[in-house]
Amino acid sequence: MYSIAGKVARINLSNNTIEIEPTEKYKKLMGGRAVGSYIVFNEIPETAHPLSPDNIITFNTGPLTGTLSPSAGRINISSKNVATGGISYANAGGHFAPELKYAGFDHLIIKGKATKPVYLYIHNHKIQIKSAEHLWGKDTWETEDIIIDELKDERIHVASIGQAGENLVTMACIMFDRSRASGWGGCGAVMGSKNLKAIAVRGTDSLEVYEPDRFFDFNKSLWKRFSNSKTIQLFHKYGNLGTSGAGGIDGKLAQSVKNMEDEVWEADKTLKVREIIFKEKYEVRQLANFTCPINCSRYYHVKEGKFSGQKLEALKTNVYRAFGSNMDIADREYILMANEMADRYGINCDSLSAVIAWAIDVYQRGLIGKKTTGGMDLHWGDGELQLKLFKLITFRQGFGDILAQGVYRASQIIGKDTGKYAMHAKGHGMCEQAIRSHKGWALGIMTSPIGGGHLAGAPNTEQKRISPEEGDRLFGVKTAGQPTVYEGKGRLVAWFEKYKTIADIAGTCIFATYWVDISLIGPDDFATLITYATDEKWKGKELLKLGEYIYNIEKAFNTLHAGFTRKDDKPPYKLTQIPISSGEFAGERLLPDKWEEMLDEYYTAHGWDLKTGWQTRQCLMKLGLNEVIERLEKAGKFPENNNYNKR
Amino acid sequence: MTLKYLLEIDRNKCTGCQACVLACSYHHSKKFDLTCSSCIDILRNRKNGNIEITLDQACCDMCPNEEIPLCMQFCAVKAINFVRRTEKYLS
Repeated sequence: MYSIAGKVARINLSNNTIEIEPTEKYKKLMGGRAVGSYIVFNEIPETAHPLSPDNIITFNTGPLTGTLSPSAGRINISSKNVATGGISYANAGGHFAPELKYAGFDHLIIKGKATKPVYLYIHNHKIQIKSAEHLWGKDTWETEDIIIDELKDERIHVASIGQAGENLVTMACIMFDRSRASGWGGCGAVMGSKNLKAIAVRGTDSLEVYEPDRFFDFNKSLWKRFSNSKTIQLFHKYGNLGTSGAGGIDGKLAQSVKNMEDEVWEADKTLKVREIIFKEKYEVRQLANFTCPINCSRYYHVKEGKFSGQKLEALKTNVYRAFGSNMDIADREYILMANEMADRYGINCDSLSAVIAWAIDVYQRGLIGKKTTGGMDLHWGDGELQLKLFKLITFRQGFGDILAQGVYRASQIIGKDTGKYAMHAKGHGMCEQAIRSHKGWALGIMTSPIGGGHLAGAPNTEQKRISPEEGDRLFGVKTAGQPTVYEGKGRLVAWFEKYKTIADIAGTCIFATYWVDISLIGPDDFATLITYATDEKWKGKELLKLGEYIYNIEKAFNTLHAGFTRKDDKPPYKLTQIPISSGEFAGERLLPDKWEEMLDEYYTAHGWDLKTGWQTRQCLMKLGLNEVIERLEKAGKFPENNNYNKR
Repeated sequence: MTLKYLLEIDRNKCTGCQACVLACSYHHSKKFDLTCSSCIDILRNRKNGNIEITLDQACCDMCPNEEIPLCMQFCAVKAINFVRRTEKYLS
């Protein structure tokens, strides 16, 4: 096989065993998220608690990773989701994934629990399990520094957890290369539950592709497309922060404000924290992930003020939204410090923001008081309070111990109608913008198998306002570029779910695809890249079929492990009842009746049952997923079993 | 024959993506290889964001069959430029 390292390592931390198997075994799945989801579906028992030794965590690279294919340096992480009990997958950039391939491994499959803290050192085909007792209690930056110092190699790339992962905080994530997060599903807590502090990789192998000249020439043409793309030119100029989700270049685009109460932030606040101001005051240079022509990242030095001396790679749109507008904090210094703390503690900013903003929200509504908060007065726009809560959650102290369980469980513990204000999808906290006005975007977030997030089926065509002709030509949906229209969005989301799965399988960043610009990598381009890279011939349509195949495995995992049904695909109270206050989309909210119609269209597009939201035998037979049929059959989870109200 | 021009990489513009390193390795070995077959070496300093670049001029043949060297074609931020050999030594 070409374009792969050739080996998969199965590591059992309970008995310190490492088994090696050939990557060829997973050939039909290609790589990345497909291998991760397949393994967790087949190997995690339905009775396994996400934080038990029976949970599995996988690290997966794709067939394009380590080559010159644009932005193909993502690492996929799959496991059972700590927040939802369903499936989790997440991916991160940086340089870890190509280094893992150069070290001889395409995938790591880790289970069990070490008796004492350990880290893995993977170096040119060898894997060592080393003591991490001296690293326990350290943050991710300290951990990385110590590992690199003790292994005496500046070129090592490290994946690590901070104190949030050690303390099994539901929102804990894994940090790669200090500042690249794999955020979703509490995967940092899964590592913590296994006493696995870090994975360090270093490799000096090379990669060969099947048809080197054709692969190389095609990549040349792709890189030209990137340099000609207006969207990519904007990324170069304004970074991730300036292009979307943070008010945009002029501060007029949607934002998530005060626990997603509204999507318009006051102009004076937005203007204080616009990208251009961060650029002028702090930017030292632009940075990029491995072989990435987008360079959405920036390096900042803070030379004055409260946190003078701060140096970090920052600031993603999500982070800005989570620690800025959603907390009503228009203070650059506090936003950047929250960014650093999230990186160091290893904590997902979206779900952390969801639980802190919820706490402030329900306190302000009088649903909780100082007795619950441990004497704290919770209010909006307080940077010091945010950092204090951040620490209490990470170290599970006082009120922070309740919040550390995530917004959904915290609201269940507190009760008293506070659940109405918990912004979550399937139990996983969220912090999103444009979710009331952009109906397809909202549907993609709420139906995401990992519990929200816009990286599953949420299309970007509405933000881009693509023409009806383009929408029809590319997706068979004329309304694809019309944000407030419900019709057609069920089909559009189903298409993007399959397509974005391909990117996660290949190892490519979603920013390099149709998702942000239809001139970038589409299904047929992926097929060309993979055909030239591997010795397998693919067409775009066949790749979409593989995407559908994997999506159905993930859906079945959720039905079996978490018991999700149609009612778990519905938006929270605030989004259906509290409209946008002003601006272009004033008055917009998600209308419950229209939502149900959109869900019907979405299930129909997948061939799923309308009443339960479950998969049908026919749909699974068409995809050849006989093992999924058997599992659902055994569990009585087909629509005709008529037991969908039972969890 | 001594080449009239050299390549120079602007370390302030470089984003550390390593694409030029891989393009160079492909030119020399038809493989993607960060370690042995490339004339360029890039190391990112984790603590201050700086990028250290080494370009082995003795190994660089300027990709004679290409319109411009491959490393330049794969640099999204145009951090790689030609400089006249004499100017380089004079400066």
